[in-house]
Amino acid sequence: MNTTKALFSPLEYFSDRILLIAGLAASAAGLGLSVGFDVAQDGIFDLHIARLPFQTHLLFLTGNILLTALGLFFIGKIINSGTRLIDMVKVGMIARIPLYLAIPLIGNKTMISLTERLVKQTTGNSLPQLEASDMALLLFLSLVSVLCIAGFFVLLVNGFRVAANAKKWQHYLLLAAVVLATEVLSKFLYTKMVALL
Amino acid sequence: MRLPVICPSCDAVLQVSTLTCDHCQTTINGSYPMPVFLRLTPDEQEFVMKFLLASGSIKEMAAQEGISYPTLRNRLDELIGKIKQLQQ
Repeated sequence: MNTTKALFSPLEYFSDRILLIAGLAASAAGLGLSVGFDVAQDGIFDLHIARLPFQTHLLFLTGNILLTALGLFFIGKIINSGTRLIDMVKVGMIARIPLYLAIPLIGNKTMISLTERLVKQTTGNSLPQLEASDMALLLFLSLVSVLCIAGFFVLLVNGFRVAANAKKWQHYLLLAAVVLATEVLSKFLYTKMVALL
Repeated sequence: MRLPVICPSCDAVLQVSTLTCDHCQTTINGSYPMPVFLRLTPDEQEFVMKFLLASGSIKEMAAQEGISYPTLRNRLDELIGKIKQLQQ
């Protein structure tokens, strides 16, 4: 087994049981990190600092996984009638792992105080004064965040490719449209549901 | 030893022209088309055999091979496509 390939396309190389266990374990860890660091996963690929009750974090996480899975399953069925929902659920769980890795970086105290300082400075008329160390920290966070989002999309696209046997460029165009639609739908649903909670 | 199925000179599919009985050395000459199964690669033949021995269950075969169901199903879909092409 090619380790690099397996890392970027786990659905192709690992058994269903391993993928399901890894997906569930990662989701539990992701929920724990969200609660521990007060980072809300309030969108398919969104992370924001917000102190929320446990059930809201749980709602966001399950909502993200299910909405991703249902969206992928919907277009997967159009592409290949043999597409299974369980495979898309696994893709939805596994693809989020890189996002979970970004949670401790976004939600740690140093980063929060730096962001607060920056927000305070930008509300005034003067330009924000940043020290070199703060700049380096912000640059590092930006770079890691971009890598995490890229990792999410790599796992999502590769998982979808295997689960639906997608081969044509039109399939990927359809995937992009569905991911964007799911993101908008998740934002809309979460706003409504949080108001009800 | 691997059975050659493609002509090394012009890439056309080879025909079976001579069959020999190992017991009495009787030789039969003719022109018989190569069966579709034999025109598959050794890996593909092995895949078909494993699939057959798993009673045609992708789920069971995936568990035996330690790979995911969709990976195996995609391989099977590709093989079905190839066999359909060979049958034409």
